[in-house]
Amino acid sequence: MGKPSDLLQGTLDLLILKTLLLEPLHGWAIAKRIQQLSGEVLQVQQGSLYPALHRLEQQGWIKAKWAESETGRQAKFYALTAAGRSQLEKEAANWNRLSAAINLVVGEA
Amino acid sequence: MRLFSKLRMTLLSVFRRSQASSHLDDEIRYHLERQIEENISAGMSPEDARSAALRKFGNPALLRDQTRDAWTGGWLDSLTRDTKYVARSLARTPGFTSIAVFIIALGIGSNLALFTLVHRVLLNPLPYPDPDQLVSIYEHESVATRMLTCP
Repeated sequence: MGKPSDLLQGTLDLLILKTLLLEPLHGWAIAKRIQQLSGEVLQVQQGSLYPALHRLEQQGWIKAKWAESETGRQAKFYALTAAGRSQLEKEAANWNRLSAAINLVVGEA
Repeated sequence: MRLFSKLRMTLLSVFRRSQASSHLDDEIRYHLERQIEENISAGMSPEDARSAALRKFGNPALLRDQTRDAWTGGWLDSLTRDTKYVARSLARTPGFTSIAVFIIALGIGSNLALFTLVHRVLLNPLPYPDPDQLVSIYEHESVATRMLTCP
C-alpha cells in the first residue's frame, strides 16, 4: 500500500471514471454529480479534480472536447474512452478487493 | 491505438503548450463562475458567493500548477526555458562570452589537430603493399672502418 495520497488519487480516478460512464460532463458537473451520487458524503475539494482529469486525459482513459454548455458558454466536456471503460472495471474490482480486505481486518463482519 | 493517441497527446503538450495553458485558465474560470452562480441563487451576496466558491475549489494558482505538472513533456519545457535563460545571460556579458568561446575553440581546435596528426602518421597503415615487411638498412661504424679512415 502506498502513501495516503496515493490511495486518494486512485480513488478519485475511480470516482471520475464511474461518473463519466453515463454521459460526457464538464469539470463542475462532475464535482456536483459525485457529491449528489454519494448522498452528500463525498465533498471533494473541487479544484483537485482538474489535475486528476488532465492526468486521466494524458493516459488516454478519457477524451476532452470544447462544446457549448447548458448555460450557453463554452466548457470542456470529458468523455470516457473504450480503454477508460476497461480501466474503470479493473479499478472497481481492485477497490472492491481492497475494501473487502480492510473490512476483514477492521472486523466489521 | 492507445499508443498513437498517447503520442499525439505528448506532441500536443509540447507544441501547443501556451494554448493548453489558456484553455486550462478558461476551464477553471468557468468552474468558479458556475459555483458562484449557484451560491448566489442559494441566497449569498456576491462577495460571499465568491469567497465560498474559492474555499470549495481550493487555491486556483496551486491547482493550475499541479495540473500543468500532470502534462507530459514538462522536462522539455523546462529545458527550453533554461536554455533561453542561459542564452540571454551570455548575451548580456559579451566580454566573458567571447573569451570563453575563444578558449573552448582553442581547446577543441588543438585537440582536433593533434589527433588528426596522430591518426594520419602513427595509426594509419602505410600506403603500399606489405608495409609490415618494410626494413631499414643503416651502417654501423666498425673497428675496421675507423682504422682505414683515420689519418
